[in-house]
Amino acid sequence: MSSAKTRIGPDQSRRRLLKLGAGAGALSMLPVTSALARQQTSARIVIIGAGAAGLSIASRLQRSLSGARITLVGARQPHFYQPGFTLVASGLWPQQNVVTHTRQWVPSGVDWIEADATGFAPDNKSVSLTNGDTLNYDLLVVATGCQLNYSDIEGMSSELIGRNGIGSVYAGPEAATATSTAIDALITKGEGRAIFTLPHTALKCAGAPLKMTFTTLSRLEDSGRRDNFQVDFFTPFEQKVFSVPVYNDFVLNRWQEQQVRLQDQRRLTAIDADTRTALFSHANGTTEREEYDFIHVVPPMSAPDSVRQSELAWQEGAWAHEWLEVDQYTLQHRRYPEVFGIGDVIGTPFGKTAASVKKQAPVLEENILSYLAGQPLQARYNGYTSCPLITSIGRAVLAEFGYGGELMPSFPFISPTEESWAVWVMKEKMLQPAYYAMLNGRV
Amino acid sequence: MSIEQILVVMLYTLKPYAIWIGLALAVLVIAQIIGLKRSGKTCPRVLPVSLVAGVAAALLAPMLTGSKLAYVATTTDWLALVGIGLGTALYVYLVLSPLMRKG
Repeated sequence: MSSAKTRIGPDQSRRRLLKLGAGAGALSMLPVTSALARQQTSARIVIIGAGAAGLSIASRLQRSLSGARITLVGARQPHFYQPGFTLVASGLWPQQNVVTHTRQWVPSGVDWIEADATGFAPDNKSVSLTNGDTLNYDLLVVATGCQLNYSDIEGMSSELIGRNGIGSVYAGPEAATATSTAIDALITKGEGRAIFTLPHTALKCAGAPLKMTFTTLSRLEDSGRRDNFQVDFFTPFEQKVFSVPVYNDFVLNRWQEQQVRLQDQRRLTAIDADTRTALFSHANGTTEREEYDFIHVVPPMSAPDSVRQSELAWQEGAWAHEWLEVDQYTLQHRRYPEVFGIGDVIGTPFGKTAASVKKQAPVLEENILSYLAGQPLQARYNGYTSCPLITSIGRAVLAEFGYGGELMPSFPFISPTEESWAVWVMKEKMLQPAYYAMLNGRV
Repeated sequence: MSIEQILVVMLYTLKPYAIWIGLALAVLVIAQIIGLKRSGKTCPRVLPVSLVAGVAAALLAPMLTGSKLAYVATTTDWLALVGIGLGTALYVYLVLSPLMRKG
């Protein structure tokens, strides 16, 4: 009888080595030793994206792994506190309040490559970068965030923000400031029409278009000339501006009281900045031409082209070729087990807010540790999404919900459906510190 | 959120105000030290002044946070406002009472 040796490829060999190393550290998963031991591994971990999600998971992994080579990839040097953009665009915060430097948040021991990904080759476990490098990985975390597709609206580009009455809170701190200035110009004019829009795609911070409407209404009411302005909200959906029914109904009812005209089943398809005219396609196939004095443009969004054009994107279904394909609970890629996702890039029913990252990061950390140890992935993300929905300058509703639209209040003393001064204070004073604690992996 | 996480967030929230908190504590400590050298009863006006300061702080708090008193609506809101008022009144009393001793 002959014994046949089975040759194992370098990939399998490496995986066993990772497991052995990780296994030794698996004891650190026990509660008694977890405070003392970091999980041992020699894995090469690449995190694409150095925003909130990438930094949060980098901080956590750097703290819980020993021996890993963690590389963070992201070209942008300024770090933006994006939840503050609506406060800047509403004239409440100066734009410098939302800008820090990425270097400040990169954990020591993590290499930061100031480049972006140009392409993913998950079959080869490699990713190409804008600086010409190709990185190989044992484990990949995709945390690229969203791409704002202004060009999907004919005649629109981010350069137009702040000009000819065009605003858009999403494009950055300067764009947010320019949006506030455009709203100021509308108010100074003393009369006119303000249009607010919603895209047909998934979007990050789905509350932001609503918050911009509410804060603008606040400013119009404070001017004493609200009656001179017509405010319209255009949504591609039927009687829907928000995914969770209780909040959708609240907003629609409040807007009815505030004389905001809901123009539903209409999608923004083109803008003529010179004539201040927007084209909307109606669900019935017609095109409507609307003149405005101010328009808040929310662009269609997707994963960055490098992701959506790769094998990592969903290949079929509602998110096909638009968002990263991950299991909505474990955040592990559904076809490439060594690939994980976090943040706005993931194609899940909910989860495109900073608060979502706060809940995703510990789940992802635990599942990555389990993966490296060859253990089943136990941690589950429940779709938690939070939006302090500003309903007027000075009050807000703390909307918290997860998969299935289930309300998930964090604090028993804060109602998830009542407007509150305390929630406003939380939004204005406490969420940014909580965000920075998240970047440091502390919460 | 766990208690530990809440405390971490509170620490991050208070960090930008550390100097002001330090100053307030310093004023309190200095007042106590000065008061050690004084004897006699506390001036009877200290209590009403403290209460007025507390009420003023409570009424001003919404405006100071970019809001309006009219938006104080929930039980949590009112409890927060009462807490601010009581805390301010207590602080003012603790600062003034040793400084304004008769005799």
